[in-house]
Amino acid sequence: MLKEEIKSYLESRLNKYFPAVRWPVLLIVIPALLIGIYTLLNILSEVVIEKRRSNVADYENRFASIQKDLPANAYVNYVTDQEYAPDFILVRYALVPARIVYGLTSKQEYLVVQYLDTAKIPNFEGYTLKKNYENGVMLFQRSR
Amino acid sequence: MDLLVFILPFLVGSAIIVALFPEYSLSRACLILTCCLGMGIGLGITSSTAFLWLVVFAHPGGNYLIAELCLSIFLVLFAIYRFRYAKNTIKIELASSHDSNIVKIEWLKIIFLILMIAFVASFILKAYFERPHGAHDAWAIWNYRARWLFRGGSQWTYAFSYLNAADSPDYPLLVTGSVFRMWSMLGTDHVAIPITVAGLLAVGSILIIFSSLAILRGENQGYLAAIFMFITTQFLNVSTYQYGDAPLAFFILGTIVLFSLKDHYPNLSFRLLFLAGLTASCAAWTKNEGVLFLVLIILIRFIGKMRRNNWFGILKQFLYFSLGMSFVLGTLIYFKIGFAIANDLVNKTNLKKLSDYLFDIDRYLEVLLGMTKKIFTFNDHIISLLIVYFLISGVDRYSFVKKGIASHVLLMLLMLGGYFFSYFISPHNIEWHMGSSLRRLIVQLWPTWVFLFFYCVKGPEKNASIPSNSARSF
Repeated sequence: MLKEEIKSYLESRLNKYFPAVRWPVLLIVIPALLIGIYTLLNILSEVVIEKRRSNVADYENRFASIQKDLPANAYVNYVTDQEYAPDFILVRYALVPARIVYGLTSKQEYLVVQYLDTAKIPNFEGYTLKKNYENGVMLFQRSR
Repeated sequence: MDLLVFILPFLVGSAIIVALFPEYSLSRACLILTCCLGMGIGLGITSSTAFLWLVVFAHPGGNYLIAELCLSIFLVLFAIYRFRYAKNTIKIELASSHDSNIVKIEWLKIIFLILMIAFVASFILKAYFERPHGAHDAWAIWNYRARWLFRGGSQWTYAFSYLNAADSPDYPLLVTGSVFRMWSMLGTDHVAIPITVAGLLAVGSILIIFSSLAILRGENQGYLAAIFMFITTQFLNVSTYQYGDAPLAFFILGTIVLFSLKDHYPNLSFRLLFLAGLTASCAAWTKNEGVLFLVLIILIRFIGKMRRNNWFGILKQFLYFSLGMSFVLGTLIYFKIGFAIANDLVNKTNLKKLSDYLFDIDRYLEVLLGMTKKIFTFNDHIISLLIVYFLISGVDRYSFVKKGIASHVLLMLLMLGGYFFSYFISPHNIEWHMGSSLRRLIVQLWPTWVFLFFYCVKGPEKNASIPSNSARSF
């Protein structure tokens, strides 16, 4: 009896506000409105207040100067004090069209070094420092 | 100039659709469908032409722009000719207007518009400000290869070299080629280009769901399905990654929608099949999973039907479908033979392992349970919402809804079977492999599942009665 009354009351309320719509539609519309607006506000807070940014742009900026000093399409060694992934992929992406070879196993004419956590300028046998970009990035060239 | 690089593919694709359907393509919901499919097809065709231009001549610069402009003008003039003259000469079966018993629910339209604005704003904020270069695979594969094509000069083939291979170096080129084409025409590799390509195809998918269901089931159902897509926040996320998954979802959806339209409008069958051939080949040109989709659609929609129907009629249908897919598929075959290296998942080494895995019940269970769990927990258990809605709402029992739906569902299930197989033979740790990719694979099929779901379930209207001919009207 009570169940019937509740059901008819709810139906009458829904009919009043949504006369042309079957009530299951609200199962979709209400969550969509809540989630859609919450998602927008959440992203707005992440981007505007927390200023959340991907680090790819940092790599792009850091390697912009050295890119001009590298010959196009040349194989270039790369040494870093950062973890291999995703650092290597980001450097590879930032330095196109240089062909980046990780490590010093096959020595090329140029060596790009990124030392972000090490203050001291490193030494590499057979290479001399050509340019220090003062942002952790250095360019070495093979000694003659 | 910035706009022109987007306008030209739009004109190419849309002009093809208008030329094919001069009597329908510019009216009401069909106009939205024409614009969305036109943009996608245009990107597919122009990415192919740009790649072929690069191979045959040089980087697509000024001369390429002139050639593409000429192609666009020719197609637009042809479409105008078809629209103005062919409209009156072709005998078309005009059906009655939409069922007058179905009342338009205005507030659904308002909510749809509010959520569409919120979706676009969320996409812009996330894509332009938080991750302008996309996510990991964008700078490891998709945009990385586009950069090589653009910056690599005469050495552009290094983009597909063994020495350069990281992940999936054999991926087709619709996304990469579109970005490369636009960068080359503009002369700069600005991040706005891949973001806009991703955004257009993501919004396009939602609008295709709306417009196709508006044509097939009425505007209310179209709005409801599109509103449901806004709950799928994973679709928004994956779109901002700038990967090939959301564009592939666009083309899979487009193809299924065109086949559904074909089932309902038999008098337009051959023209729709030509267009479906174009979208299916664009799916294959987007990602390797699209090749699986193309093979399955040929198996199910043509070869599978030969036994029951007149084989000559099916062959004729397949001819139109093949004509549609010939250009883009031809480019894909040329790319795969001439440039792409072996796939990292489906290759001789992994297939040889199949005999070892064949009787490994644990491996079957691991993949099956892993996939089931991922599918049911996708986007915070969104499937449970669909199940509840289905149980309460029920299925629409009109014959036109049932027609062809089984083959679409079978196709989608076989796609999932294909994904199962790729995990089954995966050389990687299965748990890691699924964790890193299955969510994106679900996104590839998600808009199509949503379309099929709302195509089948009852409409949002109270006491809705849909006479058999109402869905046949535009």
